[in-house]
Amino acid sequence: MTKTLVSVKGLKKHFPLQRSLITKVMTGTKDQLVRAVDGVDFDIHWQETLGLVGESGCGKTTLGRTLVGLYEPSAGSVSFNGQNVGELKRKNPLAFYRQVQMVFQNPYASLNPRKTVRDILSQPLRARSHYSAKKIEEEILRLLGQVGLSAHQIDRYPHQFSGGQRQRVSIARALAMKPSFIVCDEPVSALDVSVQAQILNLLQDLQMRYQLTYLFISHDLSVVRYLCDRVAVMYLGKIVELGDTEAVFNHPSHPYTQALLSSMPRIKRDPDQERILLTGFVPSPLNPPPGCSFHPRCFAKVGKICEQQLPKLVCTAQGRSVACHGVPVAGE
Amino acid sequence: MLKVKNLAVNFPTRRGTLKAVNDVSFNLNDGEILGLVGESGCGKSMTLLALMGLVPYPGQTVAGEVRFVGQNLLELSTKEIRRIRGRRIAMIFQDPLTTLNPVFKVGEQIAEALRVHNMLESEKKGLFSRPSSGPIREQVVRLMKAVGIPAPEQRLEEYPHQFSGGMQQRAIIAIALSCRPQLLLADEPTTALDVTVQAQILDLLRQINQEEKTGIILVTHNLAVAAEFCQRLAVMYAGQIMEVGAADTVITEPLHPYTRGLLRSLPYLVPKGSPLIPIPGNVPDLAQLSPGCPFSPRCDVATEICRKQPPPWVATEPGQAARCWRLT
Repeated sequence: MTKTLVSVKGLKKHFPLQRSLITKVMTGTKDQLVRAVDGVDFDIHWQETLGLVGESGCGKTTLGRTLVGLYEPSAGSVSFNGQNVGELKRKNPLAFYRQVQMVFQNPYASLNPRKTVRDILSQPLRARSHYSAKKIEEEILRLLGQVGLSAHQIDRYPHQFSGGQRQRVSIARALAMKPSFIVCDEPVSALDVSVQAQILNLLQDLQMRYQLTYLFISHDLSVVRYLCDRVAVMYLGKIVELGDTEAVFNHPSHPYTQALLSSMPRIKRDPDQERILLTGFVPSPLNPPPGCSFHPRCFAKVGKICEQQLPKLVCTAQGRSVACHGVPVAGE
Repeated sequence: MLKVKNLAVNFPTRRGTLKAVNDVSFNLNDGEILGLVGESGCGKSMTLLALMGLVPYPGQTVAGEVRFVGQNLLELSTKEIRRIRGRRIAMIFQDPLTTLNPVFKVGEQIAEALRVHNMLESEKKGLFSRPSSGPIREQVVRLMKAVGIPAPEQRLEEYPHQFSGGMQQRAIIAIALSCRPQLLLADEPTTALDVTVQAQILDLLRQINQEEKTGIILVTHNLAVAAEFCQRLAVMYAGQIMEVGAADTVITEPLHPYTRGLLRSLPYLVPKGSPLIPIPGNVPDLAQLSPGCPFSPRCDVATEICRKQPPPWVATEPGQAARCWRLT
C-alpha cells in the first residue's frame, strides 16, 4: 500500500473580484468570485511525481500555491503527513516550510536581482538552523554541487547566469531546507529544449537521492508523460481525471482528456489517429456553466444530466478516477 | 517561389559585430510549408524580419539576396517593398495581444489592411471611413468567417481585449489573409496559445495552405509542431542553417549532430525512467563565434578541423543536406 504524503479534501480557492462602487451602481453588478480552484480532492503518495496538467487559467498554479500555503484555502483542507496545513503553519511555520518548498516558473522573476547566490542560499540555511558561518559556506557549496553549479559561481548575481543556471539556483534554494515535498510550477517552460532536458534529469536525480515527492505543474504534456508517475487533468478549477500516467495517456476516459491529448503535437503521429478538435473556448471561471463545466464543448454528452448535475470524481478502474457522467463507475 | 541566398544580418555591439543571421540560404517551393526551427536566439525570427526588410535598428542586412517571384526584395526601395509587404507577403507574429492595436475595434483593423492596399477600388476613400457598411464591411465579415470567428457581424465591433487569445490570433490571420498573399510568414504563431487552441490554429493554417496554395514559413522552437505541420525543415543554430531536408527524414534520420542532440533531449522519444541526453553547455555568444563550426564547442563528435574551419554543405541525397565536417 502506498503511503499518502499530501491529502487534499474539497479544496476551494476563490478570489473576490472587486468592482468599484460606481460600476456596481451603474451596472447593477455585485462583487463576483473567481472560482480558480473549485472543489478538488486528491492524494499525493510518498515519493511519487504527480503531474498536474491543464490549459492556462484552469487553476493549476493556484492549486500549487495553496498546497504550499502561499494562499489560504477558501474551503476544504490540505493535510500534510496527516496534519492540517493551516494549523501546522499557525503553530510552527518553520517546521512546515522545512518540509514543503516550491520552484517557480520564471527563474528571471523568482530570484532577487540584488542578491548573490551566496545571499540567496544562505537565507534558508539560516532559517533552518543556527549554523556557523563556516558551516553555511560548506552547505552552500554542497548545494551548488548538487545542482551542477561550480564553487566559483557563489558570489555571482542572478543576471550573470543563463536561464537554465538560474533555475538550478532556484532548485538549490528549495533543497536548502531539506524538504520532502516540492511543488514545481512549470519549472522548465521558460527554458530551451536542450536546457530543459538538463533540468529534468536533475529533478529526477534529486528525487532518487533524497526521496523527494513532487507535484509537477505543467502545460507541456510530453514532459509530464516522461516525468510523472500519476497525472491529474484540470479543467476550470476541477480535476476531471486522475490516474497512472501511461494509462491516462494511452486510454484517456474523460472527453476533455481525450481532446487535450489528441491536440498534443507529436514528432511521429499515428496516421490512423484522428484529432479531436474542440470548438469554442474555456468558459470564464467567474461564471462556470451549471452541471459539468465541460458540457458546452463536450462531444460525448450523455444527456440532460450533463447540463444539470455536477459529475463527481469517482473511481472507474484500478487507480483511475474520472469526473464524467458518461464513464461507468467501477463495479457497476 | 522564394529563394534566399547568403543572407546575413549584423548588429554592431560594444563587444564586436554580432552575427544574428549568418550566411542563410534556402528555397521555398510553391504552396510549400517550410519550418524554421531552433532554440531561442538562433536567428530564426531575425531571418523572417530580414526577408521583409524589417530588421530593427541598429541591425543591418549586410549581404545576400531574397528573390521573391523574380524580384530581389533587398534591392527594392522602401516604397516598392511596401507594396509587397502585407499584400503579397504577410506576416503573423508571436504574441497576438501586442500585434493588435488595443484602441481600435478588430473589424477596423482588418478593414485597414484592405484599405491600405486598395484591395477594393470602389471604396470611397476618406479619413473617417468606417467599416460600418458597404463592400469593406462585407469583406471583413467574410474574412472573419473564413478564419472561424463566430458571429463576425457582432464581433467586428469589439476591441481586442474582448477576444480570447485564440480568437485574437484568428483576427491577425484574417488581417494577414486580407490581401490574399502568396507567402505567409508565421513567427511562433501558436507559442502563446494552449495546446487545444494551437491545434485549431495550425488546422486553420493548413487549410489556408491547401485551399489558397499559400506558401508558409513557420518559425518555431517546438520540434513536434514543426514535424507535424511542415513538409520541409531547416534547423538553425547560432545564426546559421545547420540542416535542411524533408521533415520526416530530418526527424527520423538527422544528419547534423545538433539536430540529433536536439531530438535526444526531447522527452517525446525517450522511454520513461531512462535519462534524457541533454546537449552539454550553452548557446554560444553570437558576437564571439569561433572560426569553425559554431556548434563545435558543444558537439560530441567534433574534431580539430571543426574548430578551425567553417564546415561545408554536404548533400547526402536530393533535398537533404547538412553543414558538417563529419559528413564529408
